[in-house]
Amino acid sequence: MTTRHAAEPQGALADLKVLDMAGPIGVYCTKLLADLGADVIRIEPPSGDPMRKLGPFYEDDPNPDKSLYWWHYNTSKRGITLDLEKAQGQALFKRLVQKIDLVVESFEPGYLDRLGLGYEALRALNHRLILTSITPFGQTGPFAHWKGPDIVGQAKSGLMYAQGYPDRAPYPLASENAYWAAGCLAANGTMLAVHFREAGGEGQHIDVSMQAAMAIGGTAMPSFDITHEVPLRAQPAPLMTGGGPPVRSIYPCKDGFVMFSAAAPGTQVDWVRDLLAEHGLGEEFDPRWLDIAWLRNNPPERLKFEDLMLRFFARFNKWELMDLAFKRKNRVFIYSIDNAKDVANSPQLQARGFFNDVPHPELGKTIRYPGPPAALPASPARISRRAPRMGEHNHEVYGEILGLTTEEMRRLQRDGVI
Amino acid sequence: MAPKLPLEGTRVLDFGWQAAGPLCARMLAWGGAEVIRIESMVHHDRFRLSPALVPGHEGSVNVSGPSNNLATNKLSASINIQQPKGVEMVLRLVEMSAVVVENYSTGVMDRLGLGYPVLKQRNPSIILVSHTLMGQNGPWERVAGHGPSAAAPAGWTGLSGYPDRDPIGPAGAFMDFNINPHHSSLAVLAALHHRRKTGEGQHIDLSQYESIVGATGTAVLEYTALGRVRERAGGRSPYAAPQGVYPCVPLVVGDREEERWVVISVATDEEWRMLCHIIDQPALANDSRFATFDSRKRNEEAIDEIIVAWTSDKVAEAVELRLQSAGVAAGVVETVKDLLTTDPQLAARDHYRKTVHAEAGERTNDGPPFILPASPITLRAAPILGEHNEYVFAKLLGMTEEEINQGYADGSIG
Repeated sequence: MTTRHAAEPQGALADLKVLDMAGPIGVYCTKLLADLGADVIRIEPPSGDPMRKLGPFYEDDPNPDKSLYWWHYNTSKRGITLDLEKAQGQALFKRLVQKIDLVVESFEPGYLDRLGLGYEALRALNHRLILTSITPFGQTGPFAHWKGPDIVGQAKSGLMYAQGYPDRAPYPLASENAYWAAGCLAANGTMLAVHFREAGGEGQHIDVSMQAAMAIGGTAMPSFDITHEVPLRAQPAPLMTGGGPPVRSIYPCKDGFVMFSAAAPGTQVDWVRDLLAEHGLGEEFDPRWLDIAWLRNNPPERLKFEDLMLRFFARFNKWELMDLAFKRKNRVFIYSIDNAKDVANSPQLQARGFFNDVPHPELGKTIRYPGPPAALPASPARISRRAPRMGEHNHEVYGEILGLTTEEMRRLQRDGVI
Repeated sequence: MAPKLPLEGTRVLDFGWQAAGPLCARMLAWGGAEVIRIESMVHHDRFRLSPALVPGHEGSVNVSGPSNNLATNKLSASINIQQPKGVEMVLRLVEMSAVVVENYSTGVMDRLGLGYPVLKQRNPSIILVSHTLMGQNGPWERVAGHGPSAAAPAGWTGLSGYPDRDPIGPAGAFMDFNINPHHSSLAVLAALHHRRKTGEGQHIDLSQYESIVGATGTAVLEYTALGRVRERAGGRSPYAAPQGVYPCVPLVVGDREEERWVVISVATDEEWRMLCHIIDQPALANDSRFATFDSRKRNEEAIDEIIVAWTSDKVAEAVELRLQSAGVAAGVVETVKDLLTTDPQLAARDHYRKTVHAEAGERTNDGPPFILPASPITLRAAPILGEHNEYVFAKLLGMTEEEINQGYADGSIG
């Protein structure tokens, strides 16, 4: 396996120091920043971050240091414990705020104000501070205090209504995609604020809404603006079928399933015919099928076409199919439908050095993580360390950044502050 | 002097077409960069004809709602990059730009004479961001398509849907419209930060395939660390029970009914007790089948039946308000109409912004999902194709009127 980052220049954001108190709704923001090189210090209460309770767990052991959710979203970060609800903890936090660039948080609007740690209070200590607040609906407005788990973000952003089978309920995208949107767009907004500051502007309090972040979804909104038509759940699985009664798009093959976009814009049915002919099935291809609009609207013929494709796909593995479809000059759009195991074994991802092998010394193991989403060769993004264990960097951070002595730290620990 | 916007003075050349490239560039335009779409009147971005089109402008490439929504705050210059003269104009613009955005298939920029080595020669600190399906190299480099195609090998598609039925795709190319462009715009913002410190540019290689893996959460790690392959969960969550999408009273619109749905998600025992109280079934709170999270998880379908019976004769907004007021997470499954016309929260945030477009008239656009109070973002309507030719050719490139006319005549402009 090659690596993207043979030499080890610093990540693009290596000069930024971040205090991270974001829950699941916003933690992807700080993971992105940390993997881009920022020094992200995760603050958790001495009782442990609630995120550590989210499974699944390594070896199925529900130990707070073994949550895969915690591991995944807190890569490349340092970790300290700090009780923000104690006066001493608040004082320490205020001292930290003077030494850093960014705070990212996702508490209910008003919570930090009640602790005396709201933006105005923090700004008085560090006028260059950027505070990024990530909440379901934003800091103000009628829903500001409503609860917003991922599925609520999906429901209230317009995409979900038209998604799924017509005979079932609307379907939310898998893998917490509204949390994804909130975190990724928050990272974008945060970096804009960093640029503003570097260009001579002040710090600011960024108000990110998950609902608004998830609402950036496609063509439905600007189309409604013109037609006043609401899209419905019309297709069994809108996998690039291109409108109209769809030609089947998902087919079993030897080792799983492939997605085949027979009627996607840009697909030439004659190229599909040629592909079949290359594999001895040309005789069975009815020339009338070249008229895809006709084929779509002719159910018995559609079934015959799909049956031929079924027999073709059944001869091959899914990666073989993708390969033979795209190595032709006149390519055919066949894609392997892969699961996590396939992704982990993907020759493409391995060849590109996408994965990061991350040591977990206390387990005596190195574990393979999916790497950052974009390659930046001059300032590599990468996972620089596994997620912190509870309080792992208390000495390092409180010592290095605040100059606390071991004795002072011991006292804070005794008082339950750290 | 302090700027008004974060990226003031940063020039971006936008060769994007379809969605991913243009949306990456839109983020930079929102941030105050001067983003110039480099377009062709002859081979224009097909997305400029993407429906819906404002009626009454047949044949216009300037009235697509979706296309204009992706081009707010941008300029447009028409240069034919299939002519050497056009390529030279672009390279002169590259000399005075910070970023070039493109999402052609692998190798196209090189064939046009606009590959990274050439750009770098003209401007050593240029940042080029390329979006391809699979990335710039590797055994699957030739595999091409839209974002939803890459979602299949990325493991995203297989996770969406019910275990007993085919996977469900996104109702819109969510990958092209959100996941990929915003992963790449973040990479550009990071690269600009690096450039400010070091003067160094780079070629950002965004593989949509890799980017979409980044939106599958912990799925890959569950395999690499646990050897476990996650299956489609039918919209269930490991972190909430009950959680589902429940039918409400349909809305009568003219002579037809519009379905209404509400999502409800219960994460804690306290929320469960509150839900039982609100649906007038306090006894359920003491029912041993539902007493703990794990037991609720096991009996999710039984709970769903009870909730469906309660929601079915109620108005979705009323269910949402009652539950949220009592601290139980709920949300109406909103249509785009709801978002634009009735959602009081988005209205309070002034989220959608109206602009007046030269041809398309007063239209609604996406606003940024974040508020930056010290550097507030205002929106300008998308440009019509070639609207800023005068600015680009005369002001930026210093071409005389005669040279510009010559460009129109020989087709290098246009």
